[in-house]
Order: sequence, then structure tokens, then C-alpha cells
Amino acid sequence: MQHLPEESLVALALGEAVEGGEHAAECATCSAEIAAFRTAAQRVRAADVVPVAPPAGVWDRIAAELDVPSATGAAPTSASDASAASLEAPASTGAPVTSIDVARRRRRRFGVGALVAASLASAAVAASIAVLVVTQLGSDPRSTNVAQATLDPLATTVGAARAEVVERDGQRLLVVDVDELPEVEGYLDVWLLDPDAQQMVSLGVMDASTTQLALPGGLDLDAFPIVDVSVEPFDGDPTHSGDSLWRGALES
Amino acid sequence: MSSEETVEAERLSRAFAHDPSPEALRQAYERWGGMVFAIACRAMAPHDAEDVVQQTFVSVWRSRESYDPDAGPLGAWIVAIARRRIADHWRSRSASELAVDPETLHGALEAGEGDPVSDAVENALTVQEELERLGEPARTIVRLAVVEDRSTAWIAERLAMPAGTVKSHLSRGLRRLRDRWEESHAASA
Repeated sequence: MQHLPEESLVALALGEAVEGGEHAAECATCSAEIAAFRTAAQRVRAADVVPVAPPAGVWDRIAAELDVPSATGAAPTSASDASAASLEAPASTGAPVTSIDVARRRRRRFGVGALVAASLASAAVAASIAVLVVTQLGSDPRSTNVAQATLDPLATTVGAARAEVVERDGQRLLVVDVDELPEVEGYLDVWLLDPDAQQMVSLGVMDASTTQLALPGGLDLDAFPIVDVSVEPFDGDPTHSGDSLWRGALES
Repeated sequence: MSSEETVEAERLSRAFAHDPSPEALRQAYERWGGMVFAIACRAMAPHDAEDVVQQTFVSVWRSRESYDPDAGPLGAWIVAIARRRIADHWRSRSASELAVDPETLHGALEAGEGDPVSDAVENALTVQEELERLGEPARTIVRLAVVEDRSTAWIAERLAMPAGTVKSHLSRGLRRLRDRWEESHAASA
């Protein structure tokens, strides 16, 4: 019996139809291979990481620690110029670099729920607090920028997007701005997530390419610094669908 | 997007290997800092994750002489360093915050037991390291097919590539990820 080539096994594991695919149904060897590839794919999915830009100060601290120029477009440095830093012991073989103030910065330990950070699908652990306050405010010149974020597209079908927190007459607003509102099945929902995407607050519906949403008064932006825009089906389920189009971290 | 990223990742690897200037470090930080931060954020508070990012790139710079581009792309090497700095963080935190017998702790760390968070982060590190190791365009193809659930036809059109090429990159990429997973499982079993 002719077994399926590996490319076909992979395609079947990912749910694509292939020529001669019916063979797998009656072949234990091929179906075991497909199952193994499917497991590998699930693992990649679960472990996928959406890059989150670290706060601006991190690069400055690196540059300061290494005594290299921190500014962009620094004067070109040749390899020999860089040799000064190589006098220091290579960190990879030396003692662990430990944070001096680990104790001060002690934080809670995250549970197993944090593991599914990439896939928000695990709505069971997501305490979703629906705070739906959509405000349509006219233009008011007296607003102060509190924080801003570049939102990274998580789907290839959408373009760039930005978010900004402004304060206007004592009220904080999240302004989300996308180049083009995509057509989706359902509606777009704006959320603020904690850094582990474990806790989240629903802010409301995004129905225009620039949408302003009021932030609840007591909401701590340090605790919920990630802006997330998701596609929500009309299924009456108030929790996050797991289908995010944009995400980015607020920086003040 | 893919062709730009391909050129960029390769160019950065070469630049860092041949002339590891502070500018090359900054570019590597811009390219991979966000990934290291995201992985670290899975396991610790953002402030601690910032420390891990800082320590990772400080290590990248200080051990730049040991980077061998023939052994793998720069991104994979950086993820491997991030893995060590995350382990350092856990060790130091365990030592300072958990009043446990040091030998017990050491044993548990060596065996990699008792910390589901570390398992998840380990998975994230392994997958990211392997994805970086695949290089482009395989990395983008695997991500589009597996994470975004795109069909090979869609990917072929988007990347302007023959469908057969997409299929073979995808098949080789997933094979490597699977092998790595099965190896690490066999090692810890």
C-alpha cells in the first residue's frame, strides 16, 4: 500500500483536502502521522507570541548599562571601537544577572490561566467586566494626551491602527483610530487587557474608523495596559471571542 | 511583508556577526525585543519582564563574539539567551521569595518540575526559537498556515509564490517543529 507523502499528511492535518486523502481513513500509519502533525500545529498555535513593544525606557537602560549611544542614528562604530565592552565578562557564561530589587518588585504569581495568554479563547478564566459606555463627544480642544499605543495587526487582512488615551474635562477617553474599518461577521469590540491577557475590560463597540470610548473612572491603566480590538459574533456571549484584529500596549 | 522581513532578519544576522556595532544591537532590539518582552510577560509581571528584556540584550551584546551565524539565525540565538535570562529570573525569585530548602529547589529546577508557568513559557520559547531557526519565508508560511489558519492557495497568492513551494516549506517547517517537540518530550520523559 502506498502511503501518503509528508506534504499531504501536513495538509490533511491542517484541514485541507488533498488528492488521495481518502487513503488516510483506512491506514493506521498515515492517520497516526496526521494526528502527530495536528498536535504539533496545536502546540505552535498555543505557544504563538504576538510581539509587544517594551516601554521606551528599556532600550535607554540597555544603552546606559552597556555605555553605548542610545540615540537613533548614532555615529557608525567599527568592531574595534566596540572592543571596550568586551573586556567585561560574557554574561552567558558568568553568574546569573539578577535584578537588585527583585523583592521590591515582587508581584503575584500567575496561575495556569496565564499560559493561554496567546489564545484568548479561554474565556473561562477571563473575568469579563462589561463596562459599556460609548460616548460620542463633539470636538473639544482641551484634551491632554495620557498614553498612546501602536496597535499591531493580528490578521493580514487589516492595516495599521493606533490608540490614544486622552483626558478631557476629567474624563479619560480611549480613542481608537484605524486606517480602514474592516468588514466583519458580527461587530468590533474594544477591550483593555492585563499584560497576561487573563483579565479584561470591555469598553464598547467600535463602529467608526475613529471611535472614542469612555474609560471607567477607577480603571488602573497600569493594570490593563493592552488595547485589543476583537471581532465578536452576535451570539449573546459577553466574553471575548478570541478573534483579535489588533493589539498594542499603551505607553504613557 | 515577508520579503522585507526575510531580508531584514538575514541582514541583521550578517551585520551582527561581522560588525557587531551598537547600531546593529539597537536594530536587533527593535526586531526581537518585542518578542522577548511578550514571552517574558507570560511568566512574570511587566516590570520584571522589562528587566528580562534588558538582561537579554545586555547578554546579547556581551557575548556577541560567540554568535556564529552558521549555527543559526540571530533571532534564534537571541531567544536562546532570553531563555537563560528567564531561568535566572526564576532562580533569583525562587531564592528570595520562597523559603524552601535550596537542595529541594535546585532538584526541582533541574528536573523542570512543579511549575506549569515555566512549561508554558518553555513551549513559547521553543516554538519561537524554532520558528526563527526556520528562517524566511518558512517562518511566515508556517505562521500564516497554522496560527492564522490560511489555506496554501491563499498564502501562495499573498506571497506570490508557487503553491508547491508553499506546501514544501510548510511541510518541512511543521516537521521540524514536531521533531523538536518530540525530542524535548523524550528528553524529559
